[in-house]
Amino acid sequence: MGPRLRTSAAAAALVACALLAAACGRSASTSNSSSDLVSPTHGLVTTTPAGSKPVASVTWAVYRPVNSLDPIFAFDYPENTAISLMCESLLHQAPDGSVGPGLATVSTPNPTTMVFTVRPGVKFWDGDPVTPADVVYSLDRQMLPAYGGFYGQVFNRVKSIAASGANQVTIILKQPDYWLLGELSSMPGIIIQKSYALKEGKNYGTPAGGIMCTGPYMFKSWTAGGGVTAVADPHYWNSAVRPKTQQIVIKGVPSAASFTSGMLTGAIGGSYYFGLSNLKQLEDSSSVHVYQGPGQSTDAFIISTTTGPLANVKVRQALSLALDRQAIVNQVYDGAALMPRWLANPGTFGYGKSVFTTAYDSSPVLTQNLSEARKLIKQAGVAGQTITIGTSSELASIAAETGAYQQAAEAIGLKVVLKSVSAANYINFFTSAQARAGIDGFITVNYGDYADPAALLATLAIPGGDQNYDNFSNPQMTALLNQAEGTANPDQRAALVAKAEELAAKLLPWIPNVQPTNVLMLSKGLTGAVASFSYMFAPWANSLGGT
Amino acid sequence: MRWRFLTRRLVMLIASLLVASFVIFGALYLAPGNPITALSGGRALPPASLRVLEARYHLNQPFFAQYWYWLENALHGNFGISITLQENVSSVIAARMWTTGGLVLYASLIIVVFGIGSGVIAALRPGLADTSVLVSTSISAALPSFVAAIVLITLFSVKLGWFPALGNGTGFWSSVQHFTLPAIALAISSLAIVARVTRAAVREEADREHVQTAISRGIPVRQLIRRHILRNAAIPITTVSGITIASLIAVAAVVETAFSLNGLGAYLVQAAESKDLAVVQGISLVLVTAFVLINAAVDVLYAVLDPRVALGSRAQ
Amino acid sequence: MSTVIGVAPGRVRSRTRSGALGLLRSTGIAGMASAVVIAVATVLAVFGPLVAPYNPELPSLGQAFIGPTGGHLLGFDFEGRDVLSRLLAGAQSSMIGPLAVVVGAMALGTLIAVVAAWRQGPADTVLSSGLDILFAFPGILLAVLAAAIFGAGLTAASVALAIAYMPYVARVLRGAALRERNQPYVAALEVQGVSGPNICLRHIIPNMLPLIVAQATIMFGWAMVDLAAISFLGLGVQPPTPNWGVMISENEPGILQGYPLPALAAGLAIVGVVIAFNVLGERLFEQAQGARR
Repeated sequence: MGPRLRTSAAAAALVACALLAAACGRSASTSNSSSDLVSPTHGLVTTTPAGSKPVASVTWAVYRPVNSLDPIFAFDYPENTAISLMCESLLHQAPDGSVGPGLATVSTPNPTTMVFTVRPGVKFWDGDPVTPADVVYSLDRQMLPAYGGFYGQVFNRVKSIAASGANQVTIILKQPDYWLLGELSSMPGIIIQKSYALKEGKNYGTPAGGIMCTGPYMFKSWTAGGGVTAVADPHYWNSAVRPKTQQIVIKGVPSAASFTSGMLTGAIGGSYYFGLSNLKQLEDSSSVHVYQGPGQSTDAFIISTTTGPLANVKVRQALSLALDRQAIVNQVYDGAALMPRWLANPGTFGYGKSVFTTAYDSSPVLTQNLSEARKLIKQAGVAGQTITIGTSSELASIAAETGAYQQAAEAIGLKVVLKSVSAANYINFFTSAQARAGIDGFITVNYGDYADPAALLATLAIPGGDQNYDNFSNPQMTALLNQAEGTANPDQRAALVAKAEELAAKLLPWIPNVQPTNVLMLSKGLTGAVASFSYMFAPWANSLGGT
Repeated sequence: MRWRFLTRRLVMLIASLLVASFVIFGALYLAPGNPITALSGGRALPPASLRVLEARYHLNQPFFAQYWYWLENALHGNFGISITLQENVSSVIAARMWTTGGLVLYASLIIVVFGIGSGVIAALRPGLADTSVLVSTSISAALPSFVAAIVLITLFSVKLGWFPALGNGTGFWSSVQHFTLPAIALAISSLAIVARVTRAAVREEADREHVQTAISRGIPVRQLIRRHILRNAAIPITTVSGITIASLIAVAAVVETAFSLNGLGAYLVQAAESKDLAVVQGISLVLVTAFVLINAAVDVLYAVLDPRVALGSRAQ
Repeated sequence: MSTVIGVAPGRVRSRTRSGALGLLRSTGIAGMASAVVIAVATVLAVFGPLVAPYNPELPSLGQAFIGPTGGHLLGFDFEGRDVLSRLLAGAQSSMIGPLAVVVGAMALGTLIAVVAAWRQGPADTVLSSGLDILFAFPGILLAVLAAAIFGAGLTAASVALAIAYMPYVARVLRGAALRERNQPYVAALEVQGVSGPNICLRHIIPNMLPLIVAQATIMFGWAMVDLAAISFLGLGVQPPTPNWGVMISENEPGILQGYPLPALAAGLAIVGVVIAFNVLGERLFEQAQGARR
């Protein structure tokens, strides 16, 4: 066999590959125009039509495998999605963001007293009723530092929590706190069974220990390859709710490409996956139905350092002005996001709507302005300095947005170094100071626990907030938020929070990127899942079934 | 004499496994920092968890004692706990074993059927068949599996829509569909080597004196092919097939990643990225053991087949 | 039996040294074409970042996946960077790793092969058995293990691959070294009182040079494939450094969206250079075998 034959064979292969690749690319003119963008009020839904036919099993995708079912450690999408499916909290967040009775009703005889009355008939999966002891235990678990939970800060105005009757629990506050009720409709308010948790100890919420909750779906199994499996509870205490879907499996799918493939083939039944650059592909497909609801999350750049160029507010403002946010909306979200004016997503205006909306509409949109940015950099005198950005090349949307920041930084004369970790380890940036060492900032798609701009802002803009990684402290901001926490009148509270948001947009403790809508994708043949962000905090599959 | 060879091979097998397991275990000590930092994967673990790790890995004992405990546990199927998943490494392995096994099996079938098949055809039918086999093996020999993967996805999945692009599939038939492109990607470059060696071996046998004599005596060709040519050509063919199948085990990791299959290889890579050392050690041990065992089996098969090694076997 | 090799080893050495160009010519059209490709790739490996028309590392998200247009022959990748520039700049990280692997594996392998062949006897048996045991580690697995221990990166992966390839080199070269060892001229030199290491360095190894060069060339191709695979897995070269293997994995999602060009272009680059090394290496092997007869 001659050398000539082999060479020509090789050449043929290369040519074939080239032909394959030829004429395959987006043309520059087909950029997503702004008419594709949804407005904050139009085109968004909070629920989908309830399913009518029974369904045996649905696989639900999240961006990485669930790593805990313990609500005190749940502060990210996979954990919240799994826990909210199976567990319930003292108060309940409806799809429209309003807070109402959950496992208990609440009355406030005076501004520093909250009395929770457990509703009759509420019981755990093992048939035992929910008692005040369970409530007190669950809340203590969230509050006391010994348990190492994430939500301790939420109880900063609580003086005492104690059983006060056969089915009553009373919370005495040091000062009036009008945020606590919203928090108790979310992860901090999830009620678990005291005896079960004591028996399992450290294993509660792990594959070894399982969980004991009250929700319409009960925990069945949890394996590394298989995900978390929940089955409909035939003895669910609320007889008005009878899920049509027998089993839901929550699986981690870090690769956006493999997620898309799974949705298109029907292997994945549904998901709240966000940051999909090929959302249009799914929208255009006949086998997937895409809904968008009001979002409560904010896509932002967290400043995680107290030193370096980003410690200077002028540099942060410059970086924010240099950022091409429209490209993020188009490329990263394929249109499913809004240009920001504040750190808060307008979908979080769960009260004082008119006050918030007026203030919001009068704030400027954060558009790109490179000349202004360069001016600020010159004033700050940091040209040529380096910032280190934490990222993950495994998470396509994070990688792409980090690229946008690289682009912005280089455009104003800053150098960028990237530090990449795996998808599973990205969450460590949030939990470990060690992981953040040497990093000036990283991208997040973050959220408050209920529909209130203050819910997120308080975690990062006042000293002691659990996401305040750069020790941000501004007396005016602290005063505004503290006052808001104790303000009874919703409109007055809204006015204070709106001022705080306007201040945050100037001081940039975090740099807002875009405001994602809440995307829900369902395989054709399925309907009924909640379409708003409340899926993160309250059962979302009660109406899920076949069409 | 055959027994001496087999005994030596067995000793080498055990030595290989011991050395490999020693390297996999000892790697913990090569890591920067101390073993505890390595095992935590760079995470800040609470002191209670650190104490559990210390006890589990017997970190206060001398090095060889630690190795012994680890090896003993591994032999019982206990590989420790995955830091990222908070689950037993052995369950992680068990859950994913079938994906990798199925993929390697499917690819092996493709290699055996198409590799050997095309090699035999090329050797016995010179001319167009021979040339086309040579050309196609030249092309496929140069395609690394991940390049083959994206070419296959572009052509057969996106453009033609014949196969799904990514994921495992649920149920038998759907899994076969999902595993087809990955198996082809995995097999494609090994296929070329097996086809070439088969072609050369069969050609050589066909030209042999005793075969030529048999032809001149009028013995039917098909009988010749079976009885004489293939049987003798079987030795180098089986050897190279066995070696290439063994090498599939390592390359499977690349194919699994490219096609998002949740197999052992893909998870090994993710665990390496997350610095989940217990998982890395566990899966490495399983894969290396499989690799060593298959290679040893190939050597034994070779000894069984090759009359020069075996005494008193059939006269051919 | 030709005794050309047995006579005046100096003559053999001079043949290989001044005959480098002649050697190349004798590999035929395919061999020379491959050499040209390799030369181009090498030049790019050194000057690639300077030759690249656009900045290969600066993202421009608004231009992601735009197809070939004026000035951008291969279009843009998933972060809006010029694909051609990234290919040219990526030659560096794609070629330097394999170079390190080949140098490491060949140096170690040659050393062990020559020592085993020279000593023979028990030392040889121990070394050979040791090599057989080392065969237990497929290169990619060792590289993944190294990445888990030392962190992802080109250095750890290259060292791991060099260690994994070394037994193969040693085995191939040991045979040739043994043949050289048993040549009459070696006995003659020993009688003259020339030391073992001296004979090995000045005579045996130079006579093995054609085989060593051939082996190194083919091995470069394997190393390129393995390192590209490791970078594809995310355990080798880290983004945003341009690298052909990384380009395939980071642009793979684009394929599903209907934009296969960035990933395929990188794949083509790898395949093209690897084929060149394979073809040239095989030719050189044939020459090396031929020279012995």
